Amino acid sequence: MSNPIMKVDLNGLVLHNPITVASGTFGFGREYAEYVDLNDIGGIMVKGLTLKPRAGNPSPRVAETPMGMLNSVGLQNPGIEYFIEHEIPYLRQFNTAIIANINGTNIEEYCEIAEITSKADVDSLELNISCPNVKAGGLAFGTDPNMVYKVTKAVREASGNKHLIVKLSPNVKDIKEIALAAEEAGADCLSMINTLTGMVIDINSRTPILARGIGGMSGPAVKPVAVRMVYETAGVVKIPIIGMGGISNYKDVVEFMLAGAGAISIGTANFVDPRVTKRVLNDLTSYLKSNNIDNINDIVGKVIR
Amino acid sequence: MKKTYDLKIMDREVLSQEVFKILLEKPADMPEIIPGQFFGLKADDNGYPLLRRPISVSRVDANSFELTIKLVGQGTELIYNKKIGETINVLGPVGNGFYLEEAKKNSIIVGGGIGISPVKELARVLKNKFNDDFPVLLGFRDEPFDLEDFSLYSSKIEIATESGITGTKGYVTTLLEEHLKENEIDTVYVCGPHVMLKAVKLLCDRYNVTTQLLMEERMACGIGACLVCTCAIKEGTEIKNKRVCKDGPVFYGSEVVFDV
Ligand SMILES: Cc1cc2nc3c(=O)[nH]c(=O)nc-3n(C[C@H](O)[C@H](O)[C@H](O)COP(=O)(O)OP(=O)(O)OC[C@H]3O[C@@H](n4cnc5c(N)ncnc54)[C@H](O)[C@@H]3O)c2cc1C
Ligand SMILES: Cc1cc2nc3c(=O)[nH]c(=O)nc-3n(C[C@H](O)[C@H](O)[C@H](O)COP(=O)(O)O)c2cc1C
Ligand code: FES
Repeated sequence: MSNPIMKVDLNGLVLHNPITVASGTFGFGREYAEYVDLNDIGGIMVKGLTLKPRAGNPSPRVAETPMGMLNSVGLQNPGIEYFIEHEIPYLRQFNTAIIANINGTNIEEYCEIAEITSKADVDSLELNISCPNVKAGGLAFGTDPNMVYKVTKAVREASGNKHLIVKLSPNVKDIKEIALAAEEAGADCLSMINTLTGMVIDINSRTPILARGIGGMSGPAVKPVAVRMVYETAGVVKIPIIGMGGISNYKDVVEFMLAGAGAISIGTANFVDPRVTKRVLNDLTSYLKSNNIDNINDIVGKVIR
Repeated sequence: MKKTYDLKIMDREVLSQEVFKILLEKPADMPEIIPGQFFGLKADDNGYPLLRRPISVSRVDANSFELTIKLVGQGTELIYNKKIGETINVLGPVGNGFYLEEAKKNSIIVGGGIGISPVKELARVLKNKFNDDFPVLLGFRDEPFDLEDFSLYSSKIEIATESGITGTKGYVTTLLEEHLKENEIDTVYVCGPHVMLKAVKLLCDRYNVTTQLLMEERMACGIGACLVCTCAIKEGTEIKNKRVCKDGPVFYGSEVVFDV
């Protein structure tokens, strides 16, 4: 059998394969480029960007949990201007989509960074309204359907006709109404899930391990929550979904795609195996071949409901 | 392209109740290992625990290298339980080692607790480079360990113990100050607990002596991508959060901001 078709079209964002890497876990690609050929990755969601450079939170910023971890990086990044000048030209050397994860503390800031970034040479904007690690903005925008609608609509208008992904938080009552609000406001695509808020306490010192106390949980432990949310969301929206949360092998990818994800993203698993993306791509290809599936898109949403 | 390695455990030696060493085979295609560099060890092959454990190199031989590990929790315990002949997956060597291009003979090596292990490899390398022994000041809470190995790389070892069981009772800084008072010292290379790094830096500042500190922070990726391992570093008038895994783990004492 010839190689299966891996290309996916996420409502205008075309990826040569459905495997992307999750924002904040892959920097701007430079470090992992020493371990994997970035040309083998469908798209790179870069570290969360803000208008001005941000120093992030104090350390410790990580606490390990059973099959997962908490982080409280707090959007440390060099700022949008630095990104445009230094990181886009670097990433453009590779055949991979550049997806800019953008952040703000109020609607004006979200719009300003969206406008600047949409004019830059990126393939898509990923509007992050779900970061649990900053005081202002972030998660506050992602948990109320009215706010989600407002910020998405404003950013949609500020970003011309650039492809727009809205990244959703799992820390919500009903993911469906949040997803519908983003869709109605003009999102081209959804990505989910961002991290779940969590905490670890050191019983000897009786203090939380993270300097900031609370952080965002990721890794295999969150996978069933993420699959459920993708499944629920896929049942109500028409726009495609990029699924993520604990993916570390091809079986996880198939699970997310069956649940309704049109593409997936790998985050924490990169820390465990810097070459995980390539391994997953190879294994996924073999899986499709041995099951006589000649197009990856044929499994999307094919879970039996 | 870089990769992770499955390396055979060639030997294991128990040094004390809580410290052991493993000897790993060194593959031909592994880059040179510099003192102060470390590896990310997968404690178990079945995937749990999830994250790699950062462990410094304590000695490099032609076809093998040694790690010295303190039992802390589940990860280090699983590594301890591995059998000779089994393999362990490692990432690395990663990080910048000690900066030795301009190393001068009149320098001092300081280690404390499990932090003595990376400076052992430093003592070995400096001895080879200068064909001379460097003063090595080691601090322990109680019973010292690994001194036999250290004696291969320096004849000028001084010990301080908090319990007073052997050597000078107290901290390495007491030993260090004697040297700083009496001699013109170029650089002090240090690895040890956070409080010790800070004490040594403050002491050396008073004598205008350069320090290189091997810093520790909790890590995830180990290669500079995730930004969870940062420490506060002065750059000109600015304070920046730099990555311990990639920009360090060795930093000049003059750059490190201890009280953030
Ligand atoms: C650059 C560097 C070099 C190191 N070199 C050595 C060495 O040569 N020998 C040695 O014995 N130890 C060394 N350590 C410390 C060692 O990494 C920890 O003791 C070890 O990760 C503990 O794992 P655990 O599962 O046994 O403990 P647990 O406490 O169960 O670990 C829980 C989590 O916290 C992390 N963690 C706990 N303590 C530390 C710590 N002190 N530093 C970083 N992460 C920690 C673990 O990696 C794990 O993710 C080094 C640390 C760093 C950052
Ligand atoms: C260290 C770290 C930093 C992260 N930073 C960001 C970020 O800047 N922006 C964002 O949208 N998500 C961020 N995330 C969330 C991930 O992109 C992803 O949604 C989440 O980790 C779930 O996927 P995983 O389980 O595969 O890691 C971060 C996650 C981690 C672990
Ligand atoms: S551990 Fe990821 S940047 Fe240092």
